[in-house]
Amino acid sequence: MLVEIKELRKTFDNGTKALQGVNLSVNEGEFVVILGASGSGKTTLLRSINGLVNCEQGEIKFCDNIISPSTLPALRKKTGMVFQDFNLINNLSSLNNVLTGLLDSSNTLMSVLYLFTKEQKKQALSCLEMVGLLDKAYSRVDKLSGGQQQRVGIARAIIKNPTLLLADEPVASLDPKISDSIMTLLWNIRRQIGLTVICNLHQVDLALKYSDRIIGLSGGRVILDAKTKDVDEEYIRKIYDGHSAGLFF
Amino acid sequence: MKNIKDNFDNSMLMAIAPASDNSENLDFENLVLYLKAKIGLEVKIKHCKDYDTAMKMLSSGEAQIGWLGGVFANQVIASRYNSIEEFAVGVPMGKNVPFYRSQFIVSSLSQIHTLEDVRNKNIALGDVFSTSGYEVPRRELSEVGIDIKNENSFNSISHVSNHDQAILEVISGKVDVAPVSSVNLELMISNKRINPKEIRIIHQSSNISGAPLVYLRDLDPVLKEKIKSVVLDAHNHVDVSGYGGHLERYVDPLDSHREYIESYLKSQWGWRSILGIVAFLIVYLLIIIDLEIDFSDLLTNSFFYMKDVIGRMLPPDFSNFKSLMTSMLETVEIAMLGTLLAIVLSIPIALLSARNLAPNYLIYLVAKTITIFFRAIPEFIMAMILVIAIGFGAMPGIIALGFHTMGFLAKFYAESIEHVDEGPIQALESMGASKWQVVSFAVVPQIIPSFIGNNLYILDRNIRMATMLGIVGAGGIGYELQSAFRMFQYPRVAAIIIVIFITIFLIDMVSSFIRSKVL
Repeated sequence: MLVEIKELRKTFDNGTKALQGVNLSVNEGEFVVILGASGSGKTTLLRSINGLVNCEQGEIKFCDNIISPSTLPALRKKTGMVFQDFNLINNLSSLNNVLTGLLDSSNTLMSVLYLFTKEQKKQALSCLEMVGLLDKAYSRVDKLSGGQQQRVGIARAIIKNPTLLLADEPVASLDPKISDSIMTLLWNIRRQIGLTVICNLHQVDLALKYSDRIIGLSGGRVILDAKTKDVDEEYIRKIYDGHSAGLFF
Repeated sequence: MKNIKDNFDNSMLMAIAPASDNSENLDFENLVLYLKAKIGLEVKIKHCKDYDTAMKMLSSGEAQIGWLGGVFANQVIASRYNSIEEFAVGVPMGKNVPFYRSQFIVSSLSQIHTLEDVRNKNIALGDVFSTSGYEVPRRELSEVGIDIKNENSFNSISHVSNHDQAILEVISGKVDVAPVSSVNLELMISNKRINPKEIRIIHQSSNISGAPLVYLRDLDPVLKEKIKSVVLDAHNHVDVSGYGGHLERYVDPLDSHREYIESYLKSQWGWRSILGIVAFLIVYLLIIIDLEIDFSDLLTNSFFYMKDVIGRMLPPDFSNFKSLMTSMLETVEIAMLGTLLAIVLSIPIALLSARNLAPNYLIYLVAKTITIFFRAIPEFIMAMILVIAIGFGAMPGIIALGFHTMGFLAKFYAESIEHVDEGPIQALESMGASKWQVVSFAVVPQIIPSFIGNNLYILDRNIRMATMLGIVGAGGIGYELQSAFRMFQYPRVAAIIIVIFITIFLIDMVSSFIRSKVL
């Protein structure tokens, strides 16, 4: 059991009840997709796992250790995250962006001056090669296309060889064809370096195509937790409260 | 010579993808013979008619060993072919790294000079599985907006089966341009099959990882190990050859991959940045030397100088307080009127000197020149001239401040106008709004925050400037300050400075307050 979440609750300052008792567990090596409509709590849930959001109630265990402020740094060293809006540093090159994934283990003085060791740079270049962007290593990321930028984001997330990859709507800003290639990339990388992936999506077709397990979130609660091969239209409809009836199959 | 027929009983088939029409350039015979001599392995070579056939033969197991060209060096594609494993990469003769490049070549007489010129010309393209003949060119062409898959991108496409054919078609004039492997090109030149003067390279890609020898992953592990070690060591015993004719040797793909990645290493701070920093330091050092700045004197004696001056200024003389306050008030009033004048003058000038609103280029230039002109003349000079013309008093100060700061305000306004979001402007224009209506509704609301910010800043600044202008007779407290100074009344000087300081401090608080409420 890599990640175990028990009775997670989160209410924001403005009164929004984002999570109302979420229970779920993820096994090592699984590709889990969390499906849900906007406002279902997907992002809050994902961000709670790596501590970007603090929940007032409930417990999250990573590798059988309860996550607390003291154990969080260790968790973060083993987790990579990919964001919907990429969150890259626009003026910097792809290489420098990927290198930021290694900052926590770099010498402070050197890295603040943008000086990384040859080994670190080679690691970053290898990651760029894995996502197919080696020839863009020295291009500014804001000059790359959306799909390319997300690939740099993925390279950054995997450079530390994490155990867990969190993807928060990684393809929401990309067109269908590119979305497919990015999901394929995630799937391939997972196989190549042995990762566990928890991915938020709102595209049902992508969830069905790439995941081992689908978790349906609605109103801050888990209403579906099943192996993908067991999921049918009925389940999907429940997640979206009838809004997407007849969308697929 | 070991005989290990016990480990396997059938001979192997080697599938070779067609990178070259010349069997010399894709000659694995030597290697195969050496394998037979060294470990008794019988290998039959099959040159396939296209890359796809070669790959299929290996995927199906019909061939157990092979060479598939560069497609396999690409990690992403390689990961799809689970059953195939690379074990050796050839290093061309005379080189020490196993990478090569894709090069776009044209006849040396050709008018084509850049990659963009390739559009609508006659091109020779290789097999879609060829890395340097198709895949990498596809990428390079898409960088300049040419889609290799779209037939309309070119006048004609000649489909060739290998690089040598492509090269020959360029030379014969059958096509205008072709992307080819640098390995084939260099080999043809060194074999004197073509004259290097006949062709020109208009574009080349970055390094491509060398194409490896591969075998099936599920062959007997002991056998795989033997084949691999024999091949990697072969150059010490025989002449090795493979893709590109004679090779220096074969290397382990891991090493080759490592070197390939290393070939992309660049230092973070390029020589340009370092040169810039050094030049900067030298210039400032020379300046300090030229001005004969003595830091030690400054540090040791300045303390005494300060102490002396302050001693003479204390205690501050606040007598005749009313006169001080009146003068200070006059200064503030001059600043406020000057600022108002600047705002009024700046609005039309800014509208005319904003690139996106100026009616035409000439007006834009004239308006911009006006702002530059008034910014360039220090208000001191302007005030002095005006004092001579108009006489002492507030007026010269107001005019000097108004015109000089107009130069700044107009520039600031123009810059914020130029940075507005185009979207609302287009939306209103599309609904038929006139130019002035668009300005009023789509431009003005967007620039109000910076408008207020800039005005408050200029007001602050003008109060400080107005105190100085008093020195040349343009009214206000500056005059008091100067006369106190001239008459060595340092305590009075101190009092005036304190009054100025408090006034500016108060005005600053007021403007912060206004900013927080409005912005």
